[in-house]
Amino acid sequence: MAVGNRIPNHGARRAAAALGCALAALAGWSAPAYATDAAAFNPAPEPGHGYSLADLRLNLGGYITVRLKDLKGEPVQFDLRDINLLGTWIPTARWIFLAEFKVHNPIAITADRVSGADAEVGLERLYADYAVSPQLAMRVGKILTPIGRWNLTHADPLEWTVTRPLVTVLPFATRATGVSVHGALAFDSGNVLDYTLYVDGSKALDPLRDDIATEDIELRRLHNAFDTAVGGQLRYHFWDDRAELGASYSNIQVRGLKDRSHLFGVDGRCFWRQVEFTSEALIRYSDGTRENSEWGVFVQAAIPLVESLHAIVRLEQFKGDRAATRARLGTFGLAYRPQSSMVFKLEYRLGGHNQAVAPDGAFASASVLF
Amino acid sequence: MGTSGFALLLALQILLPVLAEEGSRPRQLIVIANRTLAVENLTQTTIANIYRRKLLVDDRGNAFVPVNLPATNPLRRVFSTALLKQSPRELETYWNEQYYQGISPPYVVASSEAVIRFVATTAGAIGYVLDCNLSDAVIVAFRVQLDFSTDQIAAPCD
Repeated sequence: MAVGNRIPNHGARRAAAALGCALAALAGWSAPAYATDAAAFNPAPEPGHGYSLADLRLNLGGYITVRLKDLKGEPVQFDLRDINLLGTWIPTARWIFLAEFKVHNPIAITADRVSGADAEVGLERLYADYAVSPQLAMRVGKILTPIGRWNLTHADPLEWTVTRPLVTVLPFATRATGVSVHGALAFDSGNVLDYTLYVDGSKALDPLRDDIATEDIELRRLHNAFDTAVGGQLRYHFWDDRAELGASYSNIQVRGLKDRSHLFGVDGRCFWRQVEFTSEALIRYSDGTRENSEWGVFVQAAIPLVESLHAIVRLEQFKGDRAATRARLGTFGLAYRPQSSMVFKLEYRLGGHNQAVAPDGAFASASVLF
Repeated sequence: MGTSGFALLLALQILLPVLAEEGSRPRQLIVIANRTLAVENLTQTTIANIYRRKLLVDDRGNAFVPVNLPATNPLRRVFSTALLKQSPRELETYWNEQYYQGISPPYVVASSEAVIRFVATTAGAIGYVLDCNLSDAVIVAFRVQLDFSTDQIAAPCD
């Protein structure tokens, strides 16, 4: 984080060290940030976390993903799945500005064509964050909707699988535009409670919003874009932050639906003997009718096999009444992380009643956080 | 007892007091702070949350500026395990997720000398050194007693 107003100015040497660090990070090389004796006294970012322009209090980074998918009944496709650019600007101690731009599928290659027709360019996030006190901050702008855990950390290099569980994307808008307050309350035990409350006014503030489908399907009758929403999330970290439990609630007006909906979610993550367990469950129902109710759940384990290589197992179920959105899925794969910011994945997904929403198929990807 | 046995006993007689003195010498990891910080409020939990960047500002709105040694430095491993309860490697996932939320990990400097220099000259800064590296230019915020039987510090004082 650029806290440059409090960091001694060492000018070009620090810029050189930062540039070297950034280039090293982009090249996937985890050398120390201080490459020379001359730079040894200069503070530098931890390698792999962006290119810091400390004098401007600006940090630039992002992630990139390439993918191969072989879905049942479709031609094999190789694509440049995502190029996400992430910038943070911290002009003073209390303010943080963040912007994330996304280029999705700029190039897709199959056996008989090379295409950019499915390319999407969009603004993922854009917000200003003001620290009112050590325990309270106010955020204004476009944010990741605080529902569940996956949605808040969905960047490909941070996840174990190429594919995303249906319950983390189908029942709600993954982004909200409005105002939120958030913070962390620390207890003497060392445990921490994170909280977020938000009010979304997407209908007025983000008229270009669209329904979000899974990446492999387009369900025309599926609506999940918010007109308005209000809600919050609590997340409790314990066992020296090796475990966490989250609970989410939102009251939402989904575009195209008559009645407001309630959405309840719980999620958890736990590290036990180097195995990472994660799970999320969510239910959404409307005030006036059961017609638009949905629920889903997944459990996932990332099991270390040998150094940096993990086996991934995920089981999930999703049931929605609006369209053909009901499926049971199993995803089995491998993930190799030579560095924490780089991951190679290979997986196979199969299931029942899943052809419409998440067809059987194999996936592979390579992702780098830079 | 042969000549070799006598030589062994002699060597042990010479070396053991030296080893015992080194092993019993009190040595502490000292969390140091810039003089602008109110260190009486810096509990172990608070320091851990500053280093995890859960606490970004103090009550007056001034930034906390934690600084780390490189991830491979033995003292960082000791600090991380003792106060953050996880090794630097275990925290990599945490920092990748925080980075995606716009929160970067603490800055890194190369040596204890650099830590002291940084903390002494940077308002709101906080760092850690061994007691033998302590300087009057900074103030002591917290002390952690080290156990040489478990804390593997190869070059404790630079």
